[in-house]
Amino acid sequence: MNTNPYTALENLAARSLETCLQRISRVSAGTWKVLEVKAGSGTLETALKLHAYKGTAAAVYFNLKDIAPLTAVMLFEPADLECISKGFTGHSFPRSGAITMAEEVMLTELANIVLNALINAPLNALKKSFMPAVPLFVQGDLQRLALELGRVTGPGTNFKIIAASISVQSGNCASRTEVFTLLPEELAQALERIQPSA
Amino acid sequence: MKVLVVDDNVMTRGLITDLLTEMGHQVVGEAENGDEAIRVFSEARPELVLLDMIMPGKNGLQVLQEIRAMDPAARVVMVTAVQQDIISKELMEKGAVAILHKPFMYDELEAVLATIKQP
Repeated sequence: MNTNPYTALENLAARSLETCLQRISRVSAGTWKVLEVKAGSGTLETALKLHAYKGTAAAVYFNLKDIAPLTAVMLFEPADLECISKGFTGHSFPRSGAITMAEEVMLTELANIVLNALINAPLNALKKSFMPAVPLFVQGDLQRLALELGRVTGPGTNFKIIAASISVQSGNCASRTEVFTLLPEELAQALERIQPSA
Repeated sequence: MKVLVVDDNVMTRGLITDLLTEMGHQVVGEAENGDEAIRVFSEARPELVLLDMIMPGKNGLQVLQEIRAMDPAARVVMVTAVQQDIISKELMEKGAVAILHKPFMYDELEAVLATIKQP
């Protein structure tokens, strides 16, 4: 017997992300896959700790207009940008250590696509729609990201978290990114009600 | 076809422009936000607009409505990662001729353009 109360949420997110990553794999130079989807409860800080920080991380995030606070975030390892760029655009940008404007633009577009896939599915299941805000980029350690994103989500607020790990492979290189959405409790409960057996 | 490309992401704008040029179309203008899109549209009068949805300032839906108010025959294809059913329905009701979902393939863009007849 499945005792996981979040199976419906996880399945919904997994299907949407898999479809999205299959499309990205077809149009890009990399192979993109969903490694794992997990749902649970927690705060922004809980979700940000899904990333294994080696100093700083790069994050692209947006929230939805007219609904607060539903936020979606994609986290990248800066040391892997050459691989991520190669897997998405087919070429690597010259790397000098710091994240360049061209890399920021590339990460923002990639995250825009993946994060929308993550939130489209639950909103469509609920027959709701909200216009996403323009995706924003931030780089920093866990504390900096928590501070920056906390301005959007509210500090210490408890959410339902849908999180996924994604892999990209291009030629000899491989990387892993994390995405998550923080669902307000009432939306998550509504989703669980309409998808009891998913 | 003379095409206006509107997207706030310079990489995506460049990619779409390259694809259109490769297909033999003429990109008569590029814009990175809604106000610029409306200005370039009124000046260049393109036969087709490829319009992003999420941009700083006016969003794609607002720009679509303004362009269609300026020219009710304007042909606008929305290019977006937003796949929310209600928003898609509204875009079509407000006069979009098609929606291309990001990331799209060369063939998908070609197929959408093929369905849009020359004036």
